[in-house]
Amino acid sequence: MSIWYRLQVNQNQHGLYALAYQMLGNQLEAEDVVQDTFIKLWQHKEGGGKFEKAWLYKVTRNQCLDIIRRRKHAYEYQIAQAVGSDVSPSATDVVLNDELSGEIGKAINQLDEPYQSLLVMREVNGLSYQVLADALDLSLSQTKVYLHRARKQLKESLEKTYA
Amino acid sequence: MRKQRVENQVTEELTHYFEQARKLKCPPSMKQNLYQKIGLNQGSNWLNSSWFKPALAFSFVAVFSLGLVWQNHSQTQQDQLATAEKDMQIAMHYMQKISAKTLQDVNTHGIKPAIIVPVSKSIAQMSMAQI
Repeated sequence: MSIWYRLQVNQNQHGLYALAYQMLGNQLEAEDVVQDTFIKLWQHKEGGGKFEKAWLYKVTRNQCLDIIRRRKHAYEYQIAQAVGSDVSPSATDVVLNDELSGEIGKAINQLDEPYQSLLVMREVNGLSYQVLADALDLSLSQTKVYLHRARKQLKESLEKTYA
Repeated sequence: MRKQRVENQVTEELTHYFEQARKLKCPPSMKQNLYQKIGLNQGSNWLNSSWFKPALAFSFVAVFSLGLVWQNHSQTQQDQLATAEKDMQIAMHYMQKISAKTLQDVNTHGIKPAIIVPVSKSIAQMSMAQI
């Protein structure tokens, strides 16, 4: 078990970290998410669960979405507290992205789900359509359509910025 | 023309961005903390694993038993060879005695017990010992 487990950690840690970092834009949080994912894998295997690569990406993505949701709640709370005050943080800076700089990072983070995750998993992690479909509980054709839309939206958004 | 240029710029920058993103590595601290949390020490995992000590004990017993069996087998072989050599010496002794006699003094009945039986017995033993 431990040899198999170490192999999985070595093979997938960088890919999962890249996904978490792209979604969260924060290195420490991304590191925590990857660690939690592998702890879940350990518990999952000890419980006799079936393992697939898509499972790791699904767990990582769900954790990132939870963090983003929590950030949004915190942002809404900040807004509520700052009513009447002149200073209010930008939604993009506080909610979505605190480290990823540049227009592309911001444009990717502004994509809706599942477009953002699909695009990152495909372009950064190089996952196959089948693994993507399994990780996001989509059909193969849905995956291809969503990925096409994600690329189109991203390009349009960037073209507007650069025009 | 301008639109085409913007499209090209976007494509180039996206390609570059994704290339950089692919190079991103997870910090080693993640793995160290992870193994600590779940109780997998990186260095001494072999010694600490649950199967290692029983496997080591079993290997010792197996090697020791094999050594004993091998020693016993080679001792038996040496004993058989020594017996065969002794029988051969006896047979040679009789051969010399008989060759000293004239043909008239020797008959088939006399040779059989004196030479053929010891010689065939010792050759059989030697070949058994070789096996």
